[in-house]
Amino acid sequence: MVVDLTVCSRCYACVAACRVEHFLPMGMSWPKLVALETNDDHPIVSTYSVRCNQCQDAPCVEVCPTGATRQRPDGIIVIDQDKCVGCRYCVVACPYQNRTFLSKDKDRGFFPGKIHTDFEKAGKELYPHQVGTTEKCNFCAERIDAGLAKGLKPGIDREATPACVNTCPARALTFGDLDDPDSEVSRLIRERKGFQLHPEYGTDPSIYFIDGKIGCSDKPADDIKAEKAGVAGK
Amino acid sequence: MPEQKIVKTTCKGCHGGCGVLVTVVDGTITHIEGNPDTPTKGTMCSKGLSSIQHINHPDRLKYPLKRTGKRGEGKWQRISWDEALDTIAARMKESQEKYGKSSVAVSQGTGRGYNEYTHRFARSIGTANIITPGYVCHSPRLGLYGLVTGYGRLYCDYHGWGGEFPKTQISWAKQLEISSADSEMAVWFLNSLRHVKNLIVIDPRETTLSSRATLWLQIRPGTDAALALAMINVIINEGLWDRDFVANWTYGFDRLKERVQEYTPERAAEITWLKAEDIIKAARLFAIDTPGCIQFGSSLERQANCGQTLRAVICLLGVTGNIERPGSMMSWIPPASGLREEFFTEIPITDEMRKGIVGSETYRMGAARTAHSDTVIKQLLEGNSVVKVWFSVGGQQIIHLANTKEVMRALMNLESLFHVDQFMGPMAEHADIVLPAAHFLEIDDIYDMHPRFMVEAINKVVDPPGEAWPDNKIFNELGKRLVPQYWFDNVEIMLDYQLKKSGLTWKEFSAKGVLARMGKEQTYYKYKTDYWRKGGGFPTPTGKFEFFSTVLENLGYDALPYFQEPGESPVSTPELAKEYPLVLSTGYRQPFYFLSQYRNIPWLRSFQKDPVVQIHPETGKKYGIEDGDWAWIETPRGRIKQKTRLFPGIHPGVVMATANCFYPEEPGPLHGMLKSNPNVLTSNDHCDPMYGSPDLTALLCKVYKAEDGK
Amino acid sequence: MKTMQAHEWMINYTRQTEWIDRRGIFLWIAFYTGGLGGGLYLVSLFFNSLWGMFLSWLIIAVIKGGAHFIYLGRPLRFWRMVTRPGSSWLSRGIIFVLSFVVLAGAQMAFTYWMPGTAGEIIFKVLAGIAALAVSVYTGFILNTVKGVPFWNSSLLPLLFVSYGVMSGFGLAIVIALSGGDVNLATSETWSRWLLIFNTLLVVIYLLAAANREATGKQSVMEQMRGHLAPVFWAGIVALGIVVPAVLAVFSYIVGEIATALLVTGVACEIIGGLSLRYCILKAGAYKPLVARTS
Repeated sequence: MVVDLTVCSRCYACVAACRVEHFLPMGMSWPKLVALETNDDHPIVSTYSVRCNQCQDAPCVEVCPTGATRQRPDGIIVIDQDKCVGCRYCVVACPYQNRTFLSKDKDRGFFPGKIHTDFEKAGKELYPHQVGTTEKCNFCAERIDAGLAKGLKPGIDREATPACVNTCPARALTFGDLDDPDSEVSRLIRERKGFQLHPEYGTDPSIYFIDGKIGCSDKPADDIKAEKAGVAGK
Repeated sequence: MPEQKIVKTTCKGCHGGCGVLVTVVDGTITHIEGNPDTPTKGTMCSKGLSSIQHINHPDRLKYPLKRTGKRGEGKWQRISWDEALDTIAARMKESQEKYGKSSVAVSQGTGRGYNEYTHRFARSIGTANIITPGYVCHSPRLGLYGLVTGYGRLYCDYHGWGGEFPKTQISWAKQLEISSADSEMAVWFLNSLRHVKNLIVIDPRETTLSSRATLWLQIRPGTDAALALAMINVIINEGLWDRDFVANWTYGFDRLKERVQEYTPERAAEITWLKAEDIIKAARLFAIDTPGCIQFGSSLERQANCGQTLRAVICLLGVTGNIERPGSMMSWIPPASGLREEFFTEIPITDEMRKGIVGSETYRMGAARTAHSDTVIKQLLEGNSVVKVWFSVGGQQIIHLANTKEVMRALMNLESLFHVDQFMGPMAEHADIVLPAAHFLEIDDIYDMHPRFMVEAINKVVDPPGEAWPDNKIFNELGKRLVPQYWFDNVEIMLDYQLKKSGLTWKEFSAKGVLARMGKEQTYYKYKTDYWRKGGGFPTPTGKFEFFSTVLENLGYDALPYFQEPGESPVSTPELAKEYPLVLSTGYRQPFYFLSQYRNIPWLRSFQKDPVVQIHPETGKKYGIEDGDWAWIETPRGRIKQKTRLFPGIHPGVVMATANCFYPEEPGPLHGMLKSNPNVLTSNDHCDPMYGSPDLTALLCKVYKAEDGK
Repeated sequence: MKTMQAHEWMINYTRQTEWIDRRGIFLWIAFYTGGLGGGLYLVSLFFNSLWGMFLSWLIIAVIKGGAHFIYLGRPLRFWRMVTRPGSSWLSRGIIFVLSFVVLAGAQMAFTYWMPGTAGEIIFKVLAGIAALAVSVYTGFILNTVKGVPFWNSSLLPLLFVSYGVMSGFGLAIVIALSGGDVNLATSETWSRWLLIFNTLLVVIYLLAAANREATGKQSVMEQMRGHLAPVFWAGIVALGIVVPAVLAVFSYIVGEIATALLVTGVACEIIGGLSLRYCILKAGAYKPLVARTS
């Protein structure tokens, strides 16, 4: 996944979409927005939409004492909720703080003290959460698998793409196959100098960030014209 | 086997317009996401997605309620719809017979699809005292664009349908990316940024986009006209104007040229706190790298100099020829259904109705079709009120009008107040009868909002809770009781009627989902065709784009734009500035709240619990306020407290408070409305001469730490 | 509470909370009792004190094991935790604990019923290794956590073992005073030397941590001046080091001091050990996810 910092405007749509998709309890959030406001020479306002980095050398997989956390062949790190004992070693060990232990108090309903809404009741059937285990973003693995089964392509077809990516009004999130040099994500990382968070940990995150100026003031006018001709009228 | 269906509808989490797919299993909504086959390409924001929590909210109003105690005492009794509507109709009738037709006012919140009904209802019962937030949001630009394009709509061409995207975009006091009242436009805008060459952001504070823009102008709130006029000055004096457009299609260029001479970049720099070279750079970029467009925010319409500020910006578009050109400002041709507002414009405002409009003598542009809200409030306070009965839908005037304390007292003086809402908010608490409204997932209706090149179907997904009704049904049933000749047997027939031009019935349209005129179906350069005027030209008295407005001249206004200081500012009221040294703007919006809505939706509230005021770190240091402290913000009208965010991106002389906040979870009747709502601070004493817009976004204040915290 | 926007904390100094706050307190106890029990067992081997062995067995099997068990979100799946010793230090640790419980149990049986046999010696060696492992593994658990600079020190396992052994000698003193099978004077001597050694270790550890990036420094400052200062100064320094040191000097000069004072000294050492673990867990903070300077 590639996150474009130039347009992410802190709108929280990705967080909300995830809550809808996974029927998350009120105290749980898989994606998070990190607000960064600096004032070094010129103020900079950025928002980092973060979630499990699906590290290729993942500390959580290494420390998990039960094997509940594992890496799928496609690189996604998943947690088998039936195997997790809730030791929270992975929560502590994740240097990106992207795992959350679902404690009883986090498992609260939408409206405390009131009966569960119909949506919550449906969620308990369709996407049950186990109190006492650890959770995190799984890149909507269920969605991807269902889409792949239909012959769809993740990152191209919505039904095989994570919910947060689909909903982003800024199109700041791009999903795809990092191993495919022709994929949109690979292109963005290559052309716009994608960077990972804390590469020094050696975890090789699968989420890259790109940043830059808006506008193409430095491009020759002809290029812009050509580009426009390609897009206009679509 | 559970029955599963996917309903296509249109989100109205804000004004609306984003296509939505809702999954329903055995009558329960289990999923919501964007519909990829609509102009918003399947995107949705947090507000719309949280509809799932909204519709199931335990505090939803389910039955009509009648007040049994004193106004605002919070004692209610459930009544039937018949009793409620009969009572309301009888009181309206009684008042109109006793005091005249104009004694009944109809109010609404921001445009949420009930616009057509509020206006039609009011006109059908013979009153044009319609209280809307329009005069601080969009109406001024409609009126002033209207002086150029007739029906008054100019939108940025983000679409590239004419083969070009805007090359230079100005985002003026606007964060379309998050605070658009029409979220679909945010999607288009953000997409168009991929094709932009220069982005100029004019904003007193840094944003994500301004951090990365070609140019960021950190302007003093309320001085936008000076900037616009100085930009015109540069463009004209440097010979950068659009020769062809100006020579052939405009009126009054020489007089404009003369007028802007006094607004040199140096003088404007002094007024606006900007650098003269930045003003010059902005002017050159906008004039040279065309086509360009200007997306301005309603902050410009929340200033007592709003009319001439907008005129100046529109003239800036004129001198650069950014009208009707692909990639500039466009007046879109409506879809086959026509303009939905014909549903109410077909009942004309009579002279009698016009005479009865509160504020019409003073605010000749704004109070021509709707009432001037602040005058209504002043009259109620002074005991000479034209308005006696107030029927309110959706919006909570008690929160969004200037000077909350006065509004509260004014509402107590009404003979009757009726309110339609989904929750018991401060406005409902002051009503005599409260009617429960349905949510957009529970209604059938037609969407059309600002860009007006499309209409979309809002299709009912689930039943409303209890006896809640859709707004259109409420108006229809109430209308039938008073003036049946204007109303319909049922809502479906009413919707058919609104769609008659398109040749579709509601059922057909509902299945179709979207009716849009896009791409090649739009016509650019309409002034070169017979669209507005045979032989070409603009629908203005001179047939030209009027820099010098003959309409304004006839109404007794200055026909050329000028800059005027806000009613309160370090320049206009230096004495006051000694006590209140900081400029207060109340324009801070969060993308997950819509005006005063959604603070009771748990998902959305979780993103930011308390209202936040942005203060520069240096300013915070000066006044002993640290990041995270509760701070008092005080003006001569009162004080409120908000949580401080020391933000390096705001001008040290400016304080930016979160707008429209109350605390739904706190006890009624006020629900914490006086604690943090910046309208406790705003003034309704100085208003724009054309539109009556009060100064909401440019005032003076002081800040200090709230020692008791919260 | 100064947090306004959700998750803005990620750009600031953020403590780990799961393993110390609220229910995390059980983990603190489990971590501490691992060092204490392991240390005591090793000391007991040194003295061949069956009482000490039994006490250490109880500490590890009952208190540590119990605390771990209670802490888990899904305690009934406890057994799954031994399935990943190849990569997980926690898995290894649990295996160490279980091994110790079995081996030390067997050893005590031998010592009690069949003293002097080869079996006793073999089990003593094996259980001793297990005890060492029990007291050392928590250090590895923490120092392999990449995001917390304060813990990234190879001194941590040594510190935990050394503190464990010192507390072990402390408990040995108590056993000696209660008339158990331990030499009091030897315990006291070892206790004193270890106190000096541990003090040095703590100082070196903190100095090193303060140099491990801004976050490491902040963790140290948090202890010296921040919220943890009371625990650090009163618990680790005053009770854990100064009081035992004064008592040690006093008893060294006087030769023999009152039992009550000795017990007080031991209690203080234990509080010191608990405080140390507490501070180390509590001050463990992540490097900001996104740096303020970009």
